[in-house]
Formats: sequence, structure tokens, C-alpha cells
Amino acid sequence: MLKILLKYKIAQIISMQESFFYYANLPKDIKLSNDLITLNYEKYSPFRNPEIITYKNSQQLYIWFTQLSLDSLLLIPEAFLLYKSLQKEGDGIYIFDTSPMKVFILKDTKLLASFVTDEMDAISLNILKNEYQIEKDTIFSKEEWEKRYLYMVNNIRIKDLYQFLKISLSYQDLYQLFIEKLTYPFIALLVFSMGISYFQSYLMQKKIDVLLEKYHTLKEHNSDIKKAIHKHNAEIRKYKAFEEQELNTPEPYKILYDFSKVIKKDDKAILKSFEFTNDTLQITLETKDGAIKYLKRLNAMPYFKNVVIQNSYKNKKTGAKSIRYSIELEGLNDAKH
Amino acid sequence: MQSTKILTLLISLVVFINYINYVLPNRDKLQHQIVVLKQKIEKEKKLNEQKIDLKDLSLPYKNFFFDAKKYTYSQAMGKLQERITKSAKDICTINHIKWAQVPIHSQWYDILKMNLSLTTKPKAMFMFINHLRAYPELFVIKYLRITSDQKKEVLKVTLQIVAYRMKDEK
Repeated sequence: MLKILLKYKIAQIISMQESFFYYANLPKDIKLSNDLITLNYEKYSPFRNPEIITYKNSQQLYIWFTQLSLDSLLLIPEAFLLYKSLQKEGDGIYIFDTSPMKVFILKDTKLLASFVTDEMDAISLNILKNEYQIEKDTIFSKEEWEKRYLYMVNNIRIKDLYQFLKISLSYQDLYQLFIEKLTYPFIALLVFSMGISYFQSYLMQKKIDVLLEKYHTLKEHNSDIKKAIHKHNAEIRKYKAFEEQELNTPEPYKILYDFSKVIKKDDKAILKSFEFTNDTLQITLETKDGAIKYLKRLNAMPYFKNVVIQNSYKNKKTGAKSIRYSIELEGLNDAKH
Repeated sequence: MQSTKILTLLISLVVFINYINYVLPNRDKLQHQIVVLKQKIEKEKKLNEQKIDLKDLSLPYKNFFFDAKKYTYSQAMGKLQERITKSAKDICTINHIKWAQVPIHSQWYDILKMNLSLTTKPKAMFMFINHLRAYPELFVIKYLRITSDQKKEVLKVTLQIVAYRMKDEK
């Protein structure tokens, strides 16, 4: 990401020779505006009216002062890139054997100091160790510096890059920017979107016309079939209505056949009369058996309901009883035509 | 210069808003119309592919009715009586036959109602009905009364037979 930004000169890396680093430990995790940082920390700069680059990580504030006048939107200190690459190494004084030598002092993963020097002898190193109470010191080769530098250019996190972004536009600036530079592009965009939307609608309307024509052709082609289907459906409805109105009575011969099972061969009973009207049935039996015997059998028939003995009388000559049963017929679907 | 730009911008915005609100067709509506038309076309295509034969749509019910083109009401009744008489021949004795009155209603069919009483043996009674049912026309028994005459060992049957005559032929 940074590589591309560098290529198109959107981003620029400030070398350690051209900047001065200052580390500040904030009492709280507070937000600081650029103006406030300038007001509080400009006094630590060795330069007059410096350009200030900052990086804030919770309570740590890293400040780089530089004298360069830079137009890029993104200014990244070289020291920051190398500090990020050294973070995993832990506490220590890290010296890159470049020309000039680049020195980094890290403690508790914080960058406490970074500077360049022409030479670093043992006495100076001891002084630094005592000052920062650090025992470890490591010297890296120039090739190692190049390797780490290139690695960080390719792998720096976007979140870190964002902190170095220099955008400080006021409402007035935005207004000016819009009116001065964006009015005509904006109007062009409006006209373009009008054109595109109108063209899209035109295409849709065209498509609708084509589909409508196709639909009408098919519809016309199918009209005879549709008429026939409608007529057919109307006929079915007509015949269904006929069936419901005229054929809703049960089939009396089927009832007669089913009834024949009520009187068995060894029964001493004769069917004297069988009268069927709509949903009622009246039967007269002549028998010497009890009336209840046949009443039970009639009640056991699946669609014989409310079987009632209407009357019974004894034939004096034969001694048999004539019993008249009245039966309502229900659930006659099976018995219908 | 700046005020000219602002004015141009405002006019452009007014034109754009009016264009969107009043000139530009509703594309959602157009899209919906396209979807509906596609569905309708698909439906028509399916119907077209089915290749329905118009002959398949004719119903066989017409045979169940006396045809009004062939028979007037009284001719149809006469035909019904003829069918009954033929069915009863040699197996039942028809004692009495009576035509019901002409029904007054505006349905697409006439009800042909005939009351009759006959004397028969049990088995012959079923044969009579089977003969009657062998004809293509529909016969419905609306009333049936059977009484046994022990002296003569025959059944006295009173029944109402109903058939139908189709008035119109659509």
C-alpha cells in the first residue's frame, strides 16, 4: 500500500537525518489537535517553525520535527518504520551500521529515543545504557537496515498510515473547494446521471414493448384454446351444480341390498314393506322375534341413523308381530348414484 | 464568479430534482411490468406447448340427457315411457303409469318425472332396473315403495323415475 502511495508521490518518507524525534508521555489518553501539539511541544524543536509529524498510541506521543516544507498528504518518518520493525526485539539499544549510524532506544515496546550519529563508541553506549537503564545493545548491518526498511514499506498497517494523514480542512475550505473545483464536475455528474437513467428507462420501455408484442401474439394464438378451456370449466361447473341438485338422493336399490343383510336365513322375519323417500326409510317387518333384535341390527348399519320403532301390532291369526321402523339416512356418499 | 457558479449549481439541482420527480419514468414500475409480462409469456408458452386438442375438452355428459333437438318435452316423456315399458316387458306387469306435470323453471334442463306402479317378483324387480340402466340416458329413482302380497307371492312396487332433457346445447 505504502509502496503505491510513494510511487504516486501521495506519501513521502522523512529520513532520520532530516528530522528530530521527541517522545512525550501523556498523563491521560486524551485527544490532541495539531494546534495544541504545536503549542505544547514546538519548544522542544531544534528548528524554527518546524513541520510537525505526530503518532499517538494511547498515552505515548511520538513527535518528529522537520524543517522540510512538504506537500504530500502522507508524511511518514523513517524512524517510525524501523521502530515498528524493532518492536518484536524487546528492550534494548539498537544501532544500524549505516552512514551515519542510526540509533534506536526501545523500552517496554516504546520508542524512547532515535537519532543519527557519526560514531558510537563504548563510552557513549554506556552513558545511554545508564541513562535509560537498559543492558542490551545490538548492532545491525547496513543490509539489515535495508531489509527491515523495505519490509516495513511493504507491510506497514493502514491503521498506522492513517495517523500520519495530513487532512485539516475547515468548513470554509471545504466550501471553497466545492465551489471552486467541484461545481462543474458535479453538474456534469448530474447531467450524466440524468442521461444514464433516461437511457435505462428508454431501454426498459423498449423491452416492455417487445414483450408486450410477444405476449399479444401468444395470447392471440392461444385464444381458441382459452375459450375452449373456459367453456369446458363452465360446463363442469354446470354439471357439478346439476349433480348436487339432482343426484343428491341415495340409490334405493343399494339400500335395499344392504338391508337384505339385516334379515338372516334362520330369522323368522318377513319384509312386508319398504318405502324410500329422499333421506328417510320406512320398513315394516313381520316377525315372531322381538323388535329390539332387529332394532340393534339396523342401528349397526353404517348410514342408518335415528332408527325408531313407529308402531307394532300383533296379527291374531299368525301370532307374528308387525313392526314399523322409521330410519333417517346420513352419510350416504357411498350409497348415492 | 463564485455567485455565478452557485446559481448554476442551484439551477442544475432544481432541474435534476424535477427531472427525477416528474420526467424520469418510474423504473421500479417498469421493472415490475417486465417481470409480470415475462410471467404471462411463460404461462402462455406453457399453454401453447401443451397442444391441447379441442376434442379432449368435450364432456361426455350430453349422452345422459334426452336431447332437446331431437325431442320436445312430450316426445321425451313418450320416449321415457317407451324405455320403461320395454324394460318391464315379460318380467313385470305395469299396473299404472302417470306423467308428472310439466315443471316450470328456467334451468338448462327439463325434469322428466314419471310415476308408476308395477307387480313383479323380487328378482325381476332388479332385472327391470338393470334393463332401464342399460340405456344411455340417466334414470334416477326418487321414490320407491315395495310391499309384499303374500297371497299372490308377488311384490307391489310403486316408484317415481326421473330422467332429464337438455334444453340448450352450448
